[in-house]
Amino acid sequence: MEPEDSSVEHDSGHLLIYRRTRFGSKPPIVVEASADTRAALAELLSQYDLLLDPTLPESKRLFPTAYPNDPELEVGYQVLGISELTELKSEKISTFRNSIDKEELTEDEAEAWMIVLNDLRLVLGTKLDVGEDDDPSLMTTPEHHLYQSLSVVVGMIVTALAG
Amino acid sequence: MPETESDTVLLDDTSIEVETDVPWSVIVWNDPINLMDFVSYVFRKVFGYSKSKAQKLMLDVHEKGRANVFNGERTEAEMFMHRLHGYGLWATLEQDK
Repeated sequence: MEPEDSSVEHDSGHLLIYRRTRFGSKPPIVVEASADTRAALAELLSQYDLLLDPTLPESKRLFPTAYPNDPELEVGYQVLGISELTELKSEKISTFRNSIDKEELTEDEAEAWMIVLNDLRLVLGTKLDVGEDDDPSLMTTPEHHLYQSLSVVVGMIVTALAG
Repeated sequence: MPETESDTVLLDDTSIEVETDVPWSVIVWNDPINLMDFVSYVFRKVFGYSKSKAQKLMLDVHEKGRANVFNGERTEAEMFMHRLHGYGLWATLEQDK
């Protein structure tokens, strides 16, 4: 697993996600984002749509093996579990898409943002063969920068949800 | 010898029953991508574990490579594993020995 590293500068545009400080009932989660950043998020979502095909090699990380020691049970899980998982992920992306212009998110909306953006990290990180001890200064390609930016955003949402 | 046959049948039934009653474990495997705080959050959310228990399990995954996060009958264990997959965790099911 990867610890969060706030010492690295990330170019994630203007995007802040945090839980508003307020006494009383649980305060909402705030999204401060420029129009360009929200447009970039929408573009990312269109790429995520393409990843919801479990037969694609790029999507394999999103649909893990369930029964590595039992091929028979694995076949059963692939038939039912994978279709349910695809449906669940489709619901998350719809929730994200419908809330992409909002300035305050519900818990469910923030979770959908976190899950979708983390799935993109998983696919991208797998493609880049990211390791726990990688030197951030050597992660210089645009895809590495996107991966690091997604890490920062997912970290912000986790902190907001856990708060 | 009927009595012996009956005993044999009972023993066989018992052994089958014991086999199917063996609990299943949900195993979460370490991966280099998921954030540590994210994994702790997911354990709290999916299982309702305390912050300290979720943190300990997360560290087990990180340091030992895997952690047994739930034991129970297969249907329930599969439901939890499925929810973990929904969050992008690398989780598998195995029957305890």
